[in-house]
Amino acid sequence: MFNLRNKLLYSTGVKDTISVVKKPKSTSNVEYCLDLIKQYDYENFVCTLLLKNTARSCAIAVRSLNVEVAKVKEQTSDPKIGVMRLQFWEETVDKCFTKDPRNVPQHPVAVQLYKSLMNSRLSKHHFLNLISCRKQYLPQNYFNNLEDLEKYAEKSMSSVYYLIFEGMDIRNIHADHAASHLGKAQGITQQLRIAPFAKQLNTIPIPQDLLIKHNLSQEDILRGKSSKNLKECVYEIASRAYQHLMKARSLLQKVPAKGRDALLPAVPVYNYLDRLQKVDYEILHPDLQKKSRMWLFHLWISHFQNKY
Amino acid sequence: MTSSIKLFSLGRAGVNLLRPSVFGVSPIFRNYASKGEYIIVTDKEPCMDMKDITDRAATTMFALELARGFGVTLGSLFKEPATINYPFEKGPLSPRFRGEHALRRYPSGEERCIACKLCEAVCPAQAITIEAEPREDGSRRTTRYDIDMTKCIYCGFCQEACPVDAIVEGPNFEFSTETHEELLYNKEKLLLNGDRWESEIAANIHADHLYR
Repeated sequence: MFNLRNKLLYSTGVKDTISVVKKPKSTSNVEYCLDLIKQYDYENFVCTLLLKNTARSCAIAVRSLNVEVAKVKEQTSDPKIGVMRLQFWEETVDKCFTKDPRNVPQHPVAVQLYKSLMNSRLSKHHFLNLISCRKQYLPQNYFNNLEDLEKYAEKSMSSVYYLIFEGMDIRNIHADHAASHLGKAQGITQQLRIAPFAKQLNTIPIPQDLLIKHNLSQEDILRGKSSKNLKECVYEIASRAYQHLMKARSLLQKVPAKGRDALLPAVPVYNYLDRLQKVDYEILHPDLQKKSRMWLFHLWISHFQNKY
Repeated sequence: MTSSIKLFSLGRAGVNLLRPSVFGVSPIFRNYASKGEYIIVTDKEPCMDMKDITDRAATTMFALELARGFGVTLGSLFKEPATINYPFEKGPLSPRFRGEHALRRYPSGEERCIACKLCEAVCPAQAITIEAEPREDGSRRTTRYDIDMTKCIYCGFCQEACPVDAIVEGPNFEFSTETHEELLYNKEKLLLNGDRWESEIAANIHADHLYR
Protein backbone atom coordinates (compact mmCIF):
# COMPACT_ATOMS: atom_id res chain seq x y z
CA MET A 1 0.00 0.00 0.00
CA PHE A 2 2.77 2.36 0.94
CA ASN A 3 4.48 1.55 -2.27
CA LEU A 4 1.34 2.21 -4.25
CA ARG A 5 0.70 5.51 -2.53
CA ASN A 6 4.29 6.48 -3.01
CA LYS A 7 3.99 5.82 -6.68
CA LEU A 8 0.74 7.74 -6.82
CA LEU A 9 2.16 10.83 -5.19
CA TYR A 10 5.74 10.96 -6.23
CA SER A 11 6.19 9.63 -9.68
CA THR A 12 9.30 11.73 -10.11
CA GLY A 13 11.78 12.35 -12.86
CA VAL A 14 12.34 10.59 -16.12
CA LYS A 15 15.12 8.28 -14.97
CA ASP A 16 13.08 6.74 -12.16
CA THR A 17 10.14 5.71 -14.26
CA ILE A 18 12.21 4.23 -17.04
CA SER A 19 13.90 1.87 -14.62
CA VAL A 20 10.52 0.85 -13.14
CA VAL A 21 8.82 -0.07 -16.40
CA LYS A 22 9.90 -3.11 -18.28
CA LYS A 23 9.39 -2.65 -21.95
CA PRO A 24 6.52 -4.94 -22.91
CA LYS A 25 7.48 -7.44 -25.54
CA SER A 26 3.98 -8.54 -26.49
CA THR A 27 3.22 -7.91 -30.10
CA SER A 28 0.30 -10.15 -30.98
CA ASN A 29 -3.29 -9.56 -29.97
CA VAL A 30 -3.41 -12.52 -27.61
CA GLU A 31 -0.26 -11.40 -25.83
CA TYR A 32 -1.70 -7.93 -25.42
CA CYS A 33 -4.87 -9.37 -23.89
CA LEU A 34 -2.86 -11.62 -21.59
CA ASP A 35 -0.74 -8.67 -20.43
CA LEU A 36 -3.93 -6.75 -19.76
CA ILE A 37 -5.42 -9.51 -17.60
CA LYS A 38 -2.12 -10.10 -15.86
CA GLN A 39 -1.82 -6.47 -14.94
CA TYR A 40 -5.36 -5.83 -13.75
CA ASP A 41 -6.71 -9.22 -12.73
CA TYR A 42 -3.78 -11.36 -11.67
CA GLU A 43 -5.61 -14.15 -9.83
CA ASN A 44 -7.99 -14.83 -12.68
CA PHE A 45 -5.05 -14.60 -15.07
CA VAL A 46 -3.32 -17.49 -13.35
CA CYS A 47 -6.56 -19.52 -13.34
CA THR A 48 -7.04 -18.77 -17.04
CA LEU A 49 -3.59 -20.18 -17.81
CA LEU A 50 -4.64 -23.55 -16.39
CA LEU A 51 -7.43 -23.95 -18.94
CA LYS A 52 -7.12 -26.17 -21.98
CA ASN A 53 -6.33 -24.70 -25.38
CA THR A 54 -9.69 -23.87 -26.95
CA ALA A 55 -11.26 -22.82 -23.70
CA ARG A 56 -8.26 -20.66 -22.89
CA SER A 57 -8.47 -18.41 -25.93
CA CYS A 58 -12.17 -17.86 -25.28
CA ALA A 59 -11.49 -17.17 -21.59
CA ILE A 60 -8.77 -14.69 -22.52
CA ALA A 61 -11.15 -12.80 -24.79
CA VAL A 62 -13.94 -12.68 -22.21
CA ARG A 63 -11.67 -11.79 -19.31
CA SER A 64 -9.90 -9.03 -21.20
CA LEU A 65 -13.22 -7.52 -22.25
CA ASN A 66 -14.24 -7.71 -18.61
CA VAL A 67 -11.09 -5.86 -17.56
CA GLU A 68 -11.69 -3.18 -20.18
CA VAL A 69 -15.23 -2.45 -18.99
CA ALA A 70 -14.33 -2.77 -15.31
CA LYS A 71 -11.60 -0.13 -15.67
CA VAL A 72 -14.01 2.47 -17.03
CA LYS A 73 -15.38 3.65 -13.72
CA GLU A 74 -12.06 4.59 -12.18
CA GLN A 75 -10.73 6.06 -15.41
CA THR A 76 -13.52 8.57 -15.80
CA SER A 77 -14.47 11.52 -13.64
CA ASP A 78 -17.89 12.04 -15.18
CA PRO A 79 -20.50 9.25 -15.53
CA LYS A 80 -21.48 10.54 -18.98
CA ILE A 81 -17.96 10.02 -20.31
CA GLY A 82 -18.01 6.54 -18.79
CA VAL A 83 -21.27 5.81 -20.61
CA MET A 84 -19.59 6.87 -23.87
CA ARG A 85 -16.81 4.36 -23.36
CA LEU A 86 -19.19 1.56 -22.38
CA GLN A 87 -21.32 2.40 -25.41
CA PHE A 88 -18.23 1.87 -27.54
CA TRP A 89 -17.77 -1.61 -26.08
CA GLU A 90 -21.45 -2.40 -26.51
CA GLU A 91 -21.20 -1.46 -30.18
CA THR A 92 -17.98 -3.44 -30.48
CA VAL A 93 -19.77 -6.55 -29.20
CA ASP A 94 -22.58 -5.87 -31.66
CA LYS A 95 -20.10 -5.51 -34.50
CA CYS A 96 -18.29 -8.71 -33.54
CA PHE A 97 -21.61 -10.56 -33.68
CA THR A 98 -22.18 -9.38 -37.27
CA LYS A 99 -19.37 -11.85 -38.13
CA ASP A 100 -17.89 -9.42 -40.61
CA PRO A 101 -14.18 -8.78 -39.95
CA ARG A 102 -14.32 -5.38 -41.65
CA ASN A 103 -16.72 -4.12 -38.98
CA VAL A 104 -14.54 -5.11 -36.06
CA PRO A 105 -12.56 -2.19 -34.59
CA GLN A 106 -8.80 -2.77 -34.66
CA HIS A 107 -8.42 -3.21 -30.92
CA PRO A 108 -6.66 -6.35 -29.65
CA VAL A 109 -9.52 -7.20 -27.29
CA ALA A 110 -12.11 -6.73 -30.03
CA VAL A 111 -10.13 -8.84 -32.46
CA GLN A 112 -9.66 -11.58 -29.87
CA LEU A 113 -13.37 -11.45 -29.14
CA TYR A 114 -14.17 -11.79 -32.81
CA LYS A 115 -11.86 -14.80 -33.13
CA SER A 116 -13.43 -16.60 -30.19
CA LEU A 117 -16.90 -15.88 -31.62
CA MET A 118 -15.81 -17.56 -34.84
CA ASN A 119 -14.65 -20.65 -32.93
CA SER A 120 -17.53 -21.14 -30.53
CA ARG A 121 -21.15 -20.26 -30.04
CA LEU A 122 -21.39 -17.60 -27.31
CA SER A 123 -24.55 -15.82 -26.16
CA LYS A 124 -24.68 -12.12 -26.76
CA HIS A 125 -26.78 -11.33 -23.71
CA HIS A 126 -24.02 -12.44 -21.33
CA PHE A 127 -21.65 -9.97 -22.98
CA LEU A 128 -24.24 -7.25 -22.75
CA ASN A 129 -24.81 -8.10 -19.08
CA LEU A 130 -21.11 -7.49 -18.40
CA ILE A 131 -21.45 -4.01 -19.85
CA SER A 132 -24.93 -3.05 -18.69
CA CYS A 133 -24.24 -3.75 -15.01
CA ARG A 134 -21.20 -1.45 -15.20
CA LYS A 135 -23.35 1.17 -16.88
CA GLN A 136 -25.95 0.89 -14.16
CA TYR A 137 -23.46 1.53 -11.36
CA LEU A 138 -21.51 4.32 -13.10
CA PRO A 139 -23.34 7.23 -11.44
CA GLN A 140 -23.73 5.43 -8.11
CA ASN A 141 -20.87 4.63 -5.77
CA TYR A 142 -22.76 2.39 -3.32
CA PHE A 143 -25.13 -0.57 -3.23
CA ASN A 144 -28.53 -0.28 -1.60
CA ASN A 145 -28.47 -3.71 -0.02
CA LEU A 146 -26.69 -7.03 -0.10
CA GLU A 147 -29.14 -8.39 -2.68
CA ASP A 148 -28.22 -5.57 -5.08
CA LEU A 149 -24.58 -6.36 -4.55
CA GLU A 150 -25.31 -10.03 -5.31
CA LYS A 151 -27.13 -9.07 -8.48
CA TYR A 152 -24.21 -6.92 -9.56
CA ALA A 153 -21.77 -9.73 -8.76
CA GLU A 154 -23.92 -12.20 -10.66
CA LYS A 155 -23.97 -10.00 -13.76
CA SER A 156 -20.36 -8.87 -13.64
CA MET A 157 -18.66 -12.07 -12.47
CA SER A 158 -20.94 -15.03 -13.21
CA SER A 159 -21.48 -13.92 -16.81
CA VAL A 160 -17.77 -14.48 -17.37
CA TYR A 161 -18.10 -18.09 -16.20
CA TYR A 162 -21.22 -18.70 -18.29
CA LEU A 163 -19.30 -17.48 -21.33
CA ILE A 164 -16.27 -19.61 -20.55
CA PHE A 165 -18.53 -22.66 -20.21
CA GLU A 166 -20.08 -21.84 -23.56
CA GLY A 167 -16.59 -21.54 -24.99
CA MET A 168 -15.85 -25.04 -23.66
CA ASP A 169 -19.11 -26.16 -25.23
CA ILE A 170 -20.52 -27.22 -21.86
CA ARG A 171 -24.21 -26.50 -21.64
CA ASN A 172 -25.11 -27.96 -18.29
CA ILE A 173 -27.55 -26.51 -15.81
CA HIS A 174 -25.49 -27.61 -12.81
CA ALA A 175 -22.35 -26.02 -14.21
CA ASP A 176 -24.22 -22.76 -14.68
CA HIS A 177 -25.67 -23.08 -11.17
CA ALA A 178 -22.21 -23.48 -9.67
CA ALA A 179 -20.93 -20.60 -11.80
CA SER A 180 -23.73 -18.37 -10.56
CA HIS A 181 -22.85 -19.03 -6.92
CA LEU A 182 -19.12 -18.73 -7.50
CA GLY A 183 -19.61 -15.43 -9.32
CA LYS A 184 -21.61 -14.07 -6.42
CA ALA A 185 -18.99 -15.18 -3.93
CA GLN A 186 -16.24 -13.65 -6.01
CA GLY A 187 -18.11 -10.40 -6.58
CA ILE A 188 -18.86 -9.93 -2.90
CA THR A 189 -15.27 -10.77 -1.98
CA GLN A 190 -14.01 -8.30 -4.56
CA GLN A 191 -16.01 -5.54 -2.91
CA LEU A 192 -14.54 -6.46 0.49
CA ARG A 193 -11.06 -6.39 -0.99
CA ILE A 194 -11.37 -2.84 -2.27
CA ALA A 195 -12.54 -1.57 1.13
CA PRO A 196 -9.04 -0.29 2.12
CA PHE A 197 -8.97 1.72 -1.11
CA ALA A 198 -12.49 3.14 -0.67
CA LYS A 199 -11.23 6.71 -0.45
CA GLN A 200 -9.00 6.39 -3.46
CA LEU A 201 -11.73 4.84 -5.61
CA ASN A 202 -14.47 6.99 -4.07
CA THR A 203 -16.71 4.00 -3.52
CA ILE A 204 -18.59 2.52 -0.59
CA PRO A 205 -18.09 -1.22 -0.91
CA ILE A 206 -20.41 -2.08 1.98
CA PRO A 207 -24.15 -2.03 1.19
CA GLN A 208 -26.19 0.84 2.55
CA ASP A 209 -28.67 -1.22 4.59
CA LEU A 210 -25.87 -3.03 6.43
CA LEU A 211 -24.23 0.30 7.26
CA ILE A 212 -27.50 1.46 8.78
CA LYS A 213 -28.06 -1.82 10.58
CA HIS A 214 -24.64 -1.69 12.21
CA ASN A 215 -24.78 2.01 12.92
CA LEU A 216 -21.91 2.93 10.62
CA SER A 217 -21.56 5.95 8.38
CA GLN A 218 -20.18 6.23 4.87
CA GLU A 219 -17.61 8.57 6.35
CA ASP A 220 -16.22 5.74 8.52
CA ILE A 221 -15.68 3.57 5.47
CA LEU A 222 -14.07 6.33 3.41
CA ARG A 223 -11.77 7.29 6.26
CA GLY A 224 -10.92 3.66 6.94
CA LYS A 225 -11.93 3.80 10.60
CA SER A 226 -11.94 0.30 12.04
CA SER A 227 -14.48 -0.47 14.75
CA LYS A 228 -16.31 -3.38 16.32
CA ASN A 229 -19.41 -2.53 14.28
CA LEU A 230 -17.41 -2.70 11.08
CA LYS A 231 -16.12 -6.13 12.03
CA GLU A 232 -19.65 -7.44 12.59
CA CYS A 233 -20.74 -5.89 9.32
CA VAL A 234 -17.83 -7.46 7.43
CA TYR A 235 -18.56 -10.78 9.12
CA GLU A 236 -22.12 -10.69 7.80
CA ILE A 237 -21.00 -9.95 4.24
CA ALA A 238 -18.14 -12.44 4.32
CA SER A 239 -20.40 -15.21 5.57
CA ARG A 240 -22.76 -14.57 2.68
CA ALA A 241 -19.83 -14.90 0.28
CA TYR A 242 -18.74 -18.06 2.10
CA GLN A 243 -22.23 -19.57 1.79
CA HIS A 244 -22.19 -18.97 -1.95
CA LEU A 245 -18.73 -20.45 -2.25
CA MET A 246 -19.71 -23.58 -0.28
CA LYS A 247 -22.85 -23.94 -2.36
CA ALA A 248 -20.75 -23.77 -5.53
CA ARG A 249 -18.33 -26.36 -4.14
CA SER A 250 -21.16 -28.67 -3.07
CA LEU A 251 -22.16 -28.94 -6.75
CA LEU A 252 -18.69 -30.31 -7.62
CA GLN A 253 -19.89 -33.82 -8.48
CA LYS A 254 -22.63 -32.56 -10.79
CA VAL A 255 -20.36 -30.25 -12.79
CA PRO A 256 -18.88 -32.06 -15.81
CA ALA A 257 -15.29 -33.07 -15.11
CA LYS A 258 -13.81 -31.22 -18.07
CA GLY A 259 -15.49 -27.97 -17.01
CA ARG A 260 -14.24 -27.87 -13.44
CA ASP A 261 -11.07 -25.99 -14.37
CA ALA A 262 -13.17 -23.00 -15.36
CA LEU A 263 -14.29 -22.64 -11.76
CA LEU A 264 -10.75 -22.64 -10.33
CA PRO A 265 -11.00 -18.97 -9.19
CA ALA A 266 -12.88 -20.43 -6.22
CA VAL A 267 -9.43 -21.14 -4.74
CA PRO A 268 -8.23 -17.51 -4.44
CA VAL A 269 -11.70 -16.50 -3.19
CA TYR A 270 -11.53 -19.14 -0.48
CA ASN A 271 -7.96 -18.09 0.30
CA TYR A 272 -9.01 -14.48 0.86
CA LEU A 273 -12.01 -15.40 3.00
CA ASP A 274 -9.82 -17.70 5.02
CA ARG A 275 -7.25 -14.97 5.64
CA LEU A 276 -10.04 -12.56 6.52
CA GLN A 277 -11.23 -14.99 9.17
CA LYS A 278 -7.70 -15.35 10.54
CA VAL A 279 -7.41 -11.60 11.14
CA ASP A 280 -10.82 -11.69 12.86
CA TYR A 281 -12.69 -9.86 10.07
CA GLU A 282 -10.49 -6.80 10.50
CA ILE A 283 -10.91 -5.72 6.90
CA LEU A 284 -8.25 -3.00 7.04
CA HIS A 285 -5.64 -5.33 8.51
CA PRO A 286 -2.28 -4.84 6.73
CA ASP A 287 -1.80 -8.63 6.44
CA LEU A 288 -4.71 -8.79 4.02
CA GLN A 289 -3.01 -6.40 1.64
CA LYS A 290 0.19 -8.40 1.51
CA LYS A 291 0.55 -10.63 -1.49
CA SER A 292 0.53 -14.27 -0.54
CA ARG A 293 1.87 -16.99 -2.79
CA MET A 294 0.46 -20.02 -0.98
CA TRP A 295 -2.78 -19.95 -2.95
CA LEU A 296 -0.82 -20.70 -6.12
CA PHE A 297 0.17 -24.02 -4.58
CA HIS A 298 -3.41 -24.74 -3.50
CA LEU A 299 -4.56 -23.79 -6.97
CA TRP A 300 -2.21 -26.27 -8.57
CA ILE A 301 -3.30 -29.02 -6.14
CA SER A 302 -6.96 -28.33 -6.95
CA HIS A 303 -6.18 -28.36 -10.64
CA PHE A 304 -4.33 -31.63 -10.22
CA GLN A 305 -7.20 -33.24 -8.31
CA ASN A 306 -9.71 -31.77 -10.77
CA LYS A 307 -11.54 -29.94 -8.02
CA TYR A 308 -12.24 -26.26 -7.48
CA MET B 1 -4.27 80.93 -0.96
CA THR B 2 -4.47 82.67 2.37
CA SER B 3 -8.23 82.51 2.42
CA SER B 4 -8.23 78.78 1.91
CA ILE B 5 -5.82 78.27 4.79
CA LYS B 6 -8.05 80.35 6.95
CA LEU B 7 -11.10 78.37 5.99
CA PHE B 8 -9.25 75.12 6.77
CA SER B 9 -8.13 76.27 10.17
CA LEU B 10 -11.60 77.52 10.97
CA GLY B 11 -13.02 74.14 10.06
CA ARG B 12 -10.61 72.39 12.36
CA ALA B 13 -11.31 74.80 15.14
CA GLY B 14 -15.03 74.33 14.61
CA VAL B 15 -14.77 70.62 15.06
CA ASN B 16 -12.73 71.06 18.19
CA LEU B 17 -15.30 73.43 19.52
CA LEU B 18 -18.19 71.10 18.75
CA ARG B 19 -16.70 67.91 20.10
CA PRO B 20 -17.07 68.35 23.85
CA SER B 21 -20.69 69.37 23.47
CA VAL B 22 -21.46 66.27 21.39
CA PHE B 23 -19.95 63.96 23.95
CA GLY B 24 -21.52 65.92 26.71
CA VAL B 25 -25.04 65.24 25.55
CA SER B 26 -24.53 61.54 24.82
CA PRO B 27 -26.38 59.61 27.55
CA ILE B 28 -24.61 56.35 26.67
CA PHE B 29 -21.22 57.80 27.32
CA ARG B 30 -22.34 59.13 30.65
CA ASN B 31 -23.74 55.75 31.73
CA TYR B 32 -20.49 53.99 31.07
CA ALA B 33 -18.51 56.62 32.84
CA SER B 34 -20.70 56.47 35.90
CA LYS B 35 -20.21 52.72 36.36
CA GLY B 36 -16.47 53.25 36.60
CA GLU B 37 -15.50 49.91 35.01
CA TYR B 38 -12.40 50.44 32.90
CA ILE B 39 -10.31 47.88 31.07
CA ILE B 40 -6.65 48.75 30.70
CA VAL B 41 -5.71 48.21 27.08
CA THR B 42 -2.27 49.83 27.07
CA ASP B 43 0.97 47.90 27.57
CA LYS B 44 1.94 47.20 31.13
CA GLU B 45 4.35 49.65 32.76
CA PRO B 46 7.88 48.21 32.72
CA CYS B 47 8.96 46.98 36.10
CA MET B 48 11.36 49.37 37.75
CA ASP B 49 13.23 46.92 39.99
CA MET B 50 16.98 47.22 39.83
CA LYS B 51 17.33 43.64 38.50
CA ASP B 52 14.84 44.15 35.65
CA ILE B 53 16.39 47.44 34.66
CA THR B 54 19.79 45.75 34.45
CA ASP B 55 18.37 42.89 32.33
CA ARG B 56 16.79 45.30 29.89
CA ALA B 57 19.92 47.31 29.57
CA ALA B 58 21.99 44.20 28.94
CA THR B 59 19.56 42.99 26.22
CA THR B 60 19.79 46.31 24.43
CA MET B 61 23.53 46.62 24.76
CA PHE B 62 24.39 43.17 23.55
CA ALA B 63 21.80 43.47 20.71
CA LEU B 64 20.14 40.11 21.36
CA GLU B 65 17.65 40.39 18.45
CA LEU B 66 20.43 41.12 16.00
CA ALA B 67 22.39 38.11 17.20
CA ARG B 68 19.30 35.90 16.85
CA GLY B 69 18.73 37.12 13.32
CA PHE B 70 22.30 36.28 12.37
CA GLY B 71 21.84 32.89 13.99
CA VAL B 72 18.87 32.09 11.72
CA THR B 73 20.86 33.17 8.67
CA LEU B 74 23.80 31.05 9.67
CA GLY B 75 21.53 28.07 10.37
CA SER B 76 19.92 28.15 6.93
CA LEU B 77 23.36 28.21 5.34
CA PHE B 78 23.77 24.61 6.47
CA LYS B 79 20.25 23.51 5.60
CA GLU B 80 19.19 21.82 2.37
CA PRO B 81 17.90 24.54 0.01
CA ALA B 82 14.13 24.78 -0.36
CA THR B 83 14.45 25.61 -4.05
CA ILE B 84 15.52 23.37 -6.92
CA ASN B 85 17.83 24.13 -9.80
CA TYR B 86 14.90 24.05 -12.23
CA PRO B 87 15.87 23.26 -15.78
CA PHE B 88 18.25 20.59 -14.50
CA GLU B 89 16.17 19.35 -11.58
CA LYS B 90 12.44 18.68 -11.76
CA GLY B 91 9.94 18.71 -8.93
CA PRO B 92 7.67 15.75 -8.19
CA LEU B 93 4.75 15.23 -10.56
CA SER B 94 1.48 13.42 -9.94
CA PRO B 95 0.81 10.47 -12.24
CA ARG B 96 -2.50 12.16 -12.95
CA PHE B 97 -0.75 15.27 -14.22
CA ARG B 98 -2.27 16.46 -17.46
CA GLY B 99 0.36 17.94 -19.72
CA GLU B 100 1.19 17.75 -23.40
CA HIS B 101 -0.92 15.38 -25.48
CA ALA B 102 0.38 12.24 -27.08
CA LEU B 103 -1.03 9.50 -29.29
CA ARG B 104 0.06 6.06 -28.14
CA ARG B 105 0.88 2.94 -30.10
CA TYR B 106 0.47 -0.73 -29.31
CA PRO B 107 3.64 -2.63 -28.43
CA SER B 108 3.48 -4.03 -31.96
CA GLY B 109 3.99 -0.51 -33.34
CA GLU B 110 0.46 -0.12 -34.68
CA GLU B 111 -1.23 3.12 -33.69
CA ARG B 112 -4.03 2.74 -31.19
CA CYS B 113 -6.46 5.35 -32.43
CA ILE B 114 -9.38 3.83 -34.33
CA ALA B 115 -11.06 7.13 -35.19
CA CYS B 116 -14.14 6.67 -33.01
CA LYS B 117 -14.18 10.48 -32.56
CA LEU B 118 -15.30 10.29 -28.93
CA CYS B 119 -12.51 12.69 -27.92
CA GLU B 120 -13.62 15.15 -30.58
CA ALA B 121 -17.20 14.93 -29.31
CA VAL B 122 -16.34 15.32 -25.65
CA CYS B 123 -13.80 18.15 -25.99
CA PRO B 124 -15.41 21.20 -24.33
CA ALA B 125 -13.02 23.62 -26.07
CA GLN B 126 -13.48 21.95 -29.47
CA ALA B 127 -9.73 21.81 -29.87
CA ILE B 128 -9.65 18.41 -31.59
CA THR B 129 -10.32 17.87 -35.29
CA ILE B 130 -10.44 14.37 -36.75
CA GLU B 131 -10.91 13.10 -40.26
CA ALA B 132 -10.98 9.38 -40.93
CA GLU B 133 -11.27 6.87 -43.72
CA PRO B 134 -10.67 3.12 -44.04
CA ARG B 135 -7.11 2.12 -44.84
CA GLU B 136 -6.10 -0.33 -47.59
CA ASP B 137 -6.23 -3.26 -45.16
CA GLY B 138 -9.82 -2.34 -44.24
CA SER B 139 -9.14 -0.98 -40.75
CA ARG B 140 -10.55 2.41 -39.91
CA ARG B 141 -7.86 4.99 -39.08
CA THR B 142 -7.51 8.73 -38.87
CA THR B 143 -6.09 10.63 -41.80
CA ARG B 144 -6.00 13.82 -39.82
CA TYR B 145 -5.78 14.27 -36.06
CA ASP B 146 -5.20 17.89 -35.08
CA ILE B 147 -5.17 19.45 -31.64
CA ASP B 148 -5.04 23.19 -31.23
CA MET B 149 -2.95 23.40 -28.07
CA THR B 150 -3.88 27.06 -27.66
CA LYS B 151 -7.56 26.18 -27.48
CA CYS B 152 -7.07 23.17 -25.20
CA ILE B 153 -8.02 23.71 -21.58
CA TYR B 154 -6.25 20.55 -20.34
CA CYS B 155 -9.39 19.09 -18.73
CA GLY B 156 -8.34 15.54 -19.62
CA PHE B 157 -11.77 14.57 -20.96
CA CYS B 158 -10.28 13.30 -24.22
CA GLN B 159 -8.10 10.90 -22.27
CA GLU B 160 -11.06 9.76 -20.18
CA ALA B 161 -13.33 9.28 -23.17
CA CYS B 162 -10.85 7.31 -25.27
CA PRO B 163 -11.97 3.65 -25.16
CA VAL B 164 -8.63 2.37 -26.49
CA ASP B 165 -6.36 4.62 -24.36
CA ALA B 166 -4.91 6.19 -27.51
CA ILE B 167 -4.93 9.89 -26.70
CA VAL B 168 -3.34 10.70 -23.35
CA GLU B 169 -2.16 13.80 -21.60
CA GLY B 170 1.41 12.95 -20.78
CA PRO B 171 3.70 14.28 -18.04
CA ASN B 172 5.48 16.81 -20.29
CA PHE B 173 4.81 20.44 -19.41
CA GLU B 174 7.76 22.04 -21.19
CA PHE B 175 6.51 22.57 -24.71
CA SER B 176 6.39 26.33 -24.99
CA THR B 177 7.08 27.72 -28.45
CA GLU B 178 7.80 31.08 -30.00
CA THR B 179 4.99 31.06 -32.53
CA HIS B 180 1.33 30.17 -32.44
CA GLU B 181 1.60 27.86 -35.45
CA GLU B 182 3.97 25.53 -33.65
CA LEU B 183 1.25 24.81 -31.10
CA LEU B 184 -1.19 23.52 -33.72
CA TYR B 185 -0.27 19.84 -33.36
CA ASN B 186 -0.90 17.34 -36.11
CA LYS B 187 -0.97 13.57 -36.04
CA GLU B 188 2.75 13.10 -36.72
CA LYS B 189 3.72 15.37 -33.84
CA LEU B 190 1.28 13.62 -31.49
CA LEU B 191 2.53 10.15 -32.43
CA LEU B 192 6.11 11.35 -31.98
CA ASN B 193 5.20 12.57 -28.50
CA GLY B 194 3.71 9.17 -27.79
CA ASP B 195 6.94 7.42 -28.81
CA ARG B 196 9.04 9.80 -26.74
CA TRP B 197 6.99 9.57 -23.55
CA GLU B 198 5.63 6.02 -23.77
CA SER B 199 7.55 4.64 -20.79
CA GLU B 200 6.45 7.45 -18.48
CA ILE B 201 2.85 7.29 -19.69
CA ALA B 202 2.73 3.52 -19.22
CA ALA B 203 4.19 3.86 -15.71
CA ASN B 204 1.59 6.43 -14.74
CA ILE B 205 -1.27 4.36 -16.09
CA HIS B 206 0.01 1.36 -14.18
CA ALA B 207 0.32 3.25 -10.91
CA ASP B 208 -3.20 4.45 -11.20
CA HIS B 209 -5.17 1.24 -11.29
CA LEU B 210 -7.23 -1.01 -9.09
CA TYR B 211 -9.41 -3.69 -10.51
CA ARG B 212 -13.00 -4.31 -9.50
